[in-house]
Amino acid sequence: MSHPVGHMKVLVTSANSRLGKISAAGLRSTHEVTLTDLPQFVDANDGVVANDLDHDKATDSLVADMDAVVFPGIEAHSGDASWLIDHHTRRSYNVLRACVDGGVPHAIYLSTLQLLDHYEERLTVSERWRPLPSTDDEILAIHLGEYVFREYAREEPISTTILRLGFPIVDGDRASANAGGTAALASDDAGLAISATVEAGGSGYRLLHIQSPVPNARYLLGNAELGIGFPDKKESLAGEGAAR
Amino acid sequence: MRILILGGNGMLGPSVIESLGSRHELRITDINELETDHEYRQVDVSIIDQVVDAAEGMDAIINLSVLRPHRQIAFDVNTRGNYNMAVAAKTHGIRRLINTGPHFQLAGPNYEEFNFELNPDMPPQPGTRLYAITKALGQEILKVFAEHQDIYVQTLLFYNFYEAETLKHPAGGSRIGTDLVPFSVSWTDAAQAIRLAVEIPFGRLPSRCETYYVFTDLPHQKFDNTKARTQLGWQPRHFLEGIWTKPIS
Repeated sequence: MSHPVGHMKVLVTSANSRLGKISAAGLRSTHEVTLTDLPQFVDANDGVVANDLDHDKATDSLVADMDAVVFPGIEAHSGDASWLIDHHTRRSYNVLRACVDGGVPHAIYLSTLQLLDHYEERLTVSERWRPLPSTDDEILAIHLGEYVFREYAREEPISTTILRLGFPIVDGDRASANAGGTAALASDDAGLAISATVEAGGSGYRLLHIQSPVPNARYLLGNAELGIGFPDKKESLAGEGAAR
Repeated sequence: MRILILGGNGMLGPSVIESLGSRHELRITDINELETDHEYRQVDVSIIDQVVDAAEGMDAIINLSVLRPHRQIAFDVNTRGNYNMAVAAKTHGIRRLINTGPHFQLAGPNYEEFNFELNPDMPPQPGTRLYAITKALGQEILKVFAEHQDIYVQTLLFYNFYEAETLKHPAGGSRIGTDLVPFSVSWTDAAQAIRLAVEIPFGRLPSRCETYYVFTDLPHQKFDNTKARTQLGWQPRHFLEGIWTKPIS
């Protein structure tokens, strides 16, 4: 299933979380975006579909006919370790199973470059480096979320992309990231990367590091540039990806 | 050694209790009632406070708990259960954790259907089957904790168990002459491997996170049990020949 850029149907989970809102802002102008969140985070009339992301028909219906699903990991909702592990493993598993059963071709997990924070700044850390998650509740849960998305791409007829986002995520345009340190990501850049990933379409399993091009940027962005044209979006790359 | 057993009333529990009972002080727990001469507590491994409370005063924890088919409970038990065990260990300074699971939490279909000579030090590829991936996620949690805490995690992987004398399979019936899953072991040999993992000195472990394939010596060369034999000193006594040989007239 492929569509010309601008006519894709995209589901964003955890839509009322910070990264859910950033994702929606990046996608909304050119795509048909459906927002969903867990019932406890949904207010009446906010345009967000309340759904527990359980293993049921409601989740199946939610993902049906989508071209892509965006599942925020970092900067999504917080909770204790049990809640976080459950959300990033069981709920992501449920969403991916519903995607596979419904023929959704591409699912995107929004992870964090904090998984590589233990490496020294002087090292050329890229997607080839093994993640070193801590036992911090959120970081551990996100590491497990990546695991689930990776196994689905390995074994099921769905492409998954992991976007490891820079930290902190600073509100504003690219210039605003300069104040956030060498691993920072501007929220506008986050939206741009998410949108470009959706438009590029899935390609088996893909892992991309995303941060703003700040001075002395900590993480290499070669794969993102090649794969989705980030940080410098090249129309030819995006167009080629969307046609796949 | 004072040992907490989680899931002690499961399939492997009775054999492990028999193997350890005369040598160690056991605190057996299970979500179900259990009649035993050892200390017993009813514990739901998915409830962190219950696991932490049960681990107080222990020197080691063995996790035999497992739940296969139910989506929610499989994650609760197989994934978060291991998280709860790790937190209990950290809380009480328990350094020895024994984890168990099926071989395919490491060697999923992408390995097993394509390769031979599979060993327990391969990067895990469980695939997406519920039982496999929930157990694999639980193992990954323990690995992360072992990298950051002073705990030693040993994961023993099994698959099919047989009664040594009758060659009876838990699913029922005799399997004589029918071949077997080349990851099979007798109940007593399986329990012996767990005892050895409990008793091995930390100084003999190459790292704080070790995984073993536990199955008897078999001619298939599909999997490799060398590590369990050499590192743990495990010697299977039952070879289940009646299942993987056939009479020739």
